[in-house]
Amino acid sequence: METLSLLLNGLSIAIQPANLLFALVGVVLGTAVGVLPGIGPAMTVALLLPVTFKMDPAGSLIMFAGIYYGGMYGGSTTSILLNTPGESASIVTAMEGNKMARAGRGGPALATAAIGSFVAGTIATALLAIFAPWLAEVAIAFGPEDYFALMVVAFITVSATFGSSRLRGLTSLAIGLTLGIVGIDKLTGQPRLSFGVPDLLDGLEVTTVAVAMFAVGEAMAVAAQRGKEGEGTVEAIRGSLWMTAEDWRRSWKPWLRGTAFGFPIGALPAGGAEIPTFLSYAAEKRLATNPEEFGHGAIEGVAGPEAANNASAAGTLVPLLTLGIPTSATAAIMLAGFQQYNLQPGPLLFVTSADVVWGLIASLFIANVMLIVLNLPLVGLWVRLLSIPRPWLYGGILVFATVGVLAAKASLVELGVVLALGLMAYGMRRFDYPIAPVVVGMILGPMAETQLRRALQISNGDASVLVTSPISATLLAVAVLALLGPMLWARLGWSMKADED
Amino acid sequence: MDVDRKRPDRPVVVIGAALLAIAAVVVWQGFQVRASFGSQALGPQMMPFLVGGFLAVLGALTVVAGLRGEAPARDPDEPVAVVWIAGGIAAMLLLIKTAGFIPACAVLFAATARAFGSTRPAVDLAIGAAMAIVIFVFFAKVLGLSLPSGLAESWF
Amino acid sequence: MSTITRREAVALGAGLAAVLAHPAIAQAPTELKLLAPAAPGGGWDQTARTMQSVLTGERLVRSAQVTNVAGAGGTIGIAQFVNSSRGDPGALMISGFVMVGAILMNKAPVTLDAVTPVARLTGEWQALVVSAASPIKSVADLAAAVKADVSRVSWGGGSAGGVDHITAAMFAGLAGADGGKVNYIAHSGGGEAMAAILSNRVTVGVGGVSEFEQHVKSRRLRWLGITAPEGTAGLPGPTLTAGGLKLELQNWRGVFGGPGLSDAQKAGLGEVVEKMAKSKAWADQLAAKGWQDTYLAADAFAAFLKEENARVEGVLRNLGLVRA
Repeated sequence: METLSLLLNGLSIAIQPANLLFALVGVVLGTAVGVLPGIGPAMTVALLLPVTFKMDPAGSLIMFAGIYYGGMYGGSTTSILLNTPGESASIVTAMEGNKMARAGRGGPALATAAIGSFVAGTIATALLAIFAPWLAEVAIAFGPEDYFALMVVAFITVSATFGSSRLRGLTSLAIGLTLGIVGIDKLTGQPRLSFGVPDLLDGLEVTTVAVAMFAVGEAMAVAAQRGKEGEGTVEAIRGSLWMTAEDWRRSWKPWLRGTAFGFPIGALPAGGAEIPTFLSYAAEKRLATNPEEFGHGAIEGVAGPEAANNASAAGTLVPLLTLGIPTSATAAIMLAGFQQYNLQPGPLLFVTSADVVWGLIASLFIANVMLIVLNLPLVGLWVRLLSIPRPWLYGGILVFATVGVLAAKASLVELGVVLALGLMAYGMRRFDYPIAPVVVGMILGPMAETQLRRALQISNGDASVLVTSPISATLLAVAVLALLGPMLWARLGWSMKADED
Repeated sequence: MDVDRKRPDRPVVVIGAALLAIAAVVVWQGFQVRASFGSQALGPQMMPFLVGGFLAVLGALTVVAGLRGEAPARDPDEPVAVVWIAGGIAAMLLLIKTAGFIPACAVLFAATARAFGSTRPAVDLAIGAAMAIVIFVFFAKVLGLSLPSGLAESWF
Repeated sequence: MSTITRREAVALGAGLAAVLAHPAIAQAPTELKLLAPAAPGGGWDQTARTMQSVLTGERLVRSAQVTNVAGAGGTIGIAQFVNSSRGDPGALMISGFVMVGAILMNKAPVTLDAVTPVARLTGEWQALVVSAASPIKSVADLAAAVKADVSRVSWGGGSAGGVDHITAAMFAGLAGADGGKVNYIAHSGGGEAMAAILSNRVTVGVGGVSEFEQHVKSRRLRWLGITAPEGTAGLPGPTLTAGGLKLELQNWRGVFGGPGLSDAQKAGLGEVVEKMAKSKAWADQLAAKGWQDTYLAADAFAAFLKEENARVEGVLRNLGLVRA
């Protein structure tokens, strides 16, 4: 009850007219910068942080929350419309959302993303308010062996989304794993697959690879099929601009499931947003009544991952606020923001500055509402972008995509990587190799490797840690079940069919 | 057994061979990595060896699939369009540090538009340049971010 | 209007100085280009942007522009700086301890020898901490454990070859073990490392003092020691030296000018930076960010660098991270 009264007190501060105005300004600025290519929420917050310095702590924190949510939403808008994800967390959104947009369903895609973000953000913020201190204790108990087990679960469930041919799906995955090796090994500082090129020492940027594989590869494949009937046409609007009753029916469960994946994993110090979005996508595909629609614009594939992305963002606030541990680039920037006001997030923050913390949580609620109020009316406007004549639309996408790559890292080597991988992605499309496993392998591969090796390094090479930790043992059991379950199921189904013959 | 023998699919065999070549490079690079401080239970070489081996198996299977003619059906396409886009990016790469960001973007825009059937390169260049100017001014002047720049940007 | 007059006065003064110039008189630049060899948001970028706001806010220069060139611990940035800023009296690059290590480890073709040291500006002391539940109570306990079996003591901290790793290796060496065999568990970013330290998964944690302060106050962690010299004011915990192991190290940041500057140009840059570093606005910014003022002027900074470079190279060589 004390929690509730503190929260209400925070809300009463946040809904003062001046603070509502700050929230609005924050959301507008955040969205405007977030839609720019190559600028994810972390950079949005970093660039706009100085704007908030001039205000009192309460007002600037509120504006800050608005910028943060606006930046996240702006990023998914460009992912959906232009297939140019600005950060790894919106890659899954781009996969299914852009297919929807190109089929004239950009309106519902943007709407389900916005409402899903709102639902997930609201639920996750509520969970944050109630469970933060308790959850933080659980989260730091997660060790490297437990993370490794979590990655194994992710690999196995996500492999269900690898397309028609197992050989080609695994080949795509292997290519992704190879790309993930490039750069300095995190644990030993040794360069790998860098061929002495200094620009490659930090590894390939996930967004560079995603932009090359999605936007550039796609543009090449579509251009090459030009002139054939119905190939690669882009329709701005077909059917309703708004979500239909059917869309709502198909969206609400994915929103909730996405939140269930996103919040707890986001709260883990090494959880991140990628794994929950992958898991959400895999779960939606498996649970869907029409899984064949996935890969061609299934609304569940946008609703779930986008909710997971937002919920995980709220999740990262758990370790940040309660322990002062920044677990993502955005959280690290937020920490810097707190320190500007001589606030040190950590165990003492709830005691020493309770009003500020609850003010922030309240302003997250407000920013969330503001975001949806602002953005839903804009959906129609955004979707009009797609009615630009195709030569200019794709010309614009390519300029946007390359600028995004250069904004993240102003290096010509990066542009060369875009060219090489774009051509590879075109070839992969031509020979029916799925694209998603490349990105999955590139993101999950290094994570799994690092955690496994770290676990063994701490245990001095004793591999039994992988099964003696209760968390990792449970997760590995889930993984085995996920792997063998469908096989047993299939065998059972097959044998029953054989009996019928 | 009466196997349905198809003709070997040459491009697929080439893909398999390319995968084998990449596998070889990855494994070779694995040998170049040296362990350093402390005792690493699993060193930095593990991943290159594992992934290299995985790629080699997949490459071999792809070669076999190609020889057996097991490949997905492909629509004929127009490689010229792909060359236009790839050429646009390559041109951007060459122009960006010399002529500058804005002309480089304009050329990429026009080349891509050409790939999609546009026949008015002058108009395309103008639109591309206008877009690039807006982007450049916003990034460099409003946000204070640096984009690679050349001759054209020295006027700003 | 008065501001313009003042600016004109400065310009006039500069002009006069140039007219009267003999090489020893400083030529202070009026327009500065600051290169942060890292992505926006990090420590070097924040240093650059803080300098920008103080330099222009205090009207020490007419304009200051920040450029980011990220990559490979700053070695990409320094290579570009050396190419583009030769003899440019208005160009400054931010750098720091991390770059010293990165240059050595990446065998970077361009080193800090190619640029002109202008000033050391800020620094942060390193700290060793243990979880509250740890059986290790003192520096001596840790030193004994390290000496007994160096591989049994796991260290949690930031990236391999970074300042945390070097601190750990130096400690092991001073404790009488082989610093090259230190069981260092590298983490990317502070968050992951902190979780490992708080949950007592690693024997000892190493990082910047400010990262740990809150956790020590809330009694989750205990200080073992801080890498500051004995007698340093304002430390939140004891020094390592007081604990019986003399290890002094700071994670510093400073600024460099381009190659090939004349003595007058060098003095001019130094003068502007010194005015900035002595201003109240700068002190306020440091306090807000929790940075220590460790200002050193050009010559002292150059001597410091020389020593630092030799020390870091020795440690990295022993770790096998630098090879001949």
